[in-house]
Amino acid sequence: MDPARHRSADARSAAEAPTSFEDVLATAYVPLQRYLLRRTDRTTAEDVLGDVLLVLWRRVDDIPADAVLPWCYAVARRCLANQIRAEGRRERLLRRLADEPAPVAEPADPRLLDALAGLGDTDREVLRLWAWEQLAPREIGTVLGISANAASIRLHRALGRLRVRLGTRKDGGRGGHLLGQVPGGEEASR
Amino acid sequence: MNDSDADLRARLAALDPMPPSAVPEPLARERAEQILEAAMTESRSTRRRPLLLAAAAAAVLVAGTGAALLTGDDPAPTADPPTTLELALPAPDVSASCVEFRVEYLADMPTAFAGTVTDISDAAVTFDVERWYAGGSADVVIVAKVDSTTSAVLDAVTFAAGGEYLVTASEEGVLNGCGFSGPASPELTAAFAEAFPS
Repeated sequence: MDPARHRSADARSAAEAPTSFEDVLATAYVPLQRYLLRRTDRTTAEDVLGDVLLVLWRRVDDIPADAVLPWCYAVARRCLANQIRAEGRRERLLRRLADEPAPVAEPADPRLLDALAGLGDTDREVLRLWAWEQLAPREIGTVLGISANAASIRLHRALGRLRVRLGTRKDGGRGGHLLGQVPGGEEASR
Repeated sequence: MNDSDADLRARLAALDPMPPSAVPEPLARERAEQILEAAMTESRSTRRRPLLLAAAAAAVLVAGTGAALLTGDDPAPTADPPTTLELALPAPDVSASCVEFRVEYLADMPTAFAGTVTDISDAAVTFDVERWYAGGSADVVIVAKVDSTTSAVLDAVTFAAGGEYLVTASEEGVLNGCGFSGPASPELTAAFAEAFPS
């Protein structure tokens, strides 16, 4: 999960071109704002953004030029987790999650929202990175500190569990297998 | 119903509380910059890498008030309208620290104006000046970029064509970052109004 560790693991494959802090800000500042505002309230987002910028400044030499955004998201994810742990803002985060559809102009998709809320943290984060940050599995791997292959598998499984919760998974065998992995028997009663 | 991955991705994207169409308001830059300032102060002696947030110190290019140098079609030593002021973005090799944002410091800035970005080229950012708060009367301000590979960025501020900004510069004609230049937010507009009472 530590981006630096992840980078050193495959540093040879990463582009070695130096990345300036200025370039990083130009690329990542607004996406980082979005990332944080998607996951927490504004006050927390402001606090965490300061922490993230500090880390990025200190570690600018470690940022791979070919994966600036995923690397920055990884920092933001960790800083946000630290903040929530440190300040007990989980309640606020949950409130924010409940409020999420509010800023969307179109009618929300309550079934999908329910299904998403019912997933585990990692599944939900994988799906958000995929659909909101529009990351490819390889980039999701960078954010989560796992391999591209592992990220593909997690995404596939998260989608499977989401479909189970949506009740759209009709293929008996695999669906049954996935059902077994879902905590709680909510969908069984549907 | 059997959603394809693409369909599900689209449905999920529709739940995005910050969709691409929504432009996030700038978060509190002062707060972020205070943290960076503290970090820089503590590590400046051990780290040589320049911090671009540190805008205030670098003297790179010279400002000539009223000099129509860059337009190239006005050889007259005294400028005819529209007058142009040339400033510069800080060099990327500058090592200096931010001072805390304070209206008193803002009031000391020798150059301060409100303007709209009308053009961004490889070499410069051009502002149409709407109002001078201090230090000038030119109609147009051209801010030279350090080099063509440097984007039009001043610390956390990315200049965009059509955007309205409040800008200050040092006596050397170098734009100030550290919160002393930025998008014309209500907060910054209020700070300029307080610093430069008309």
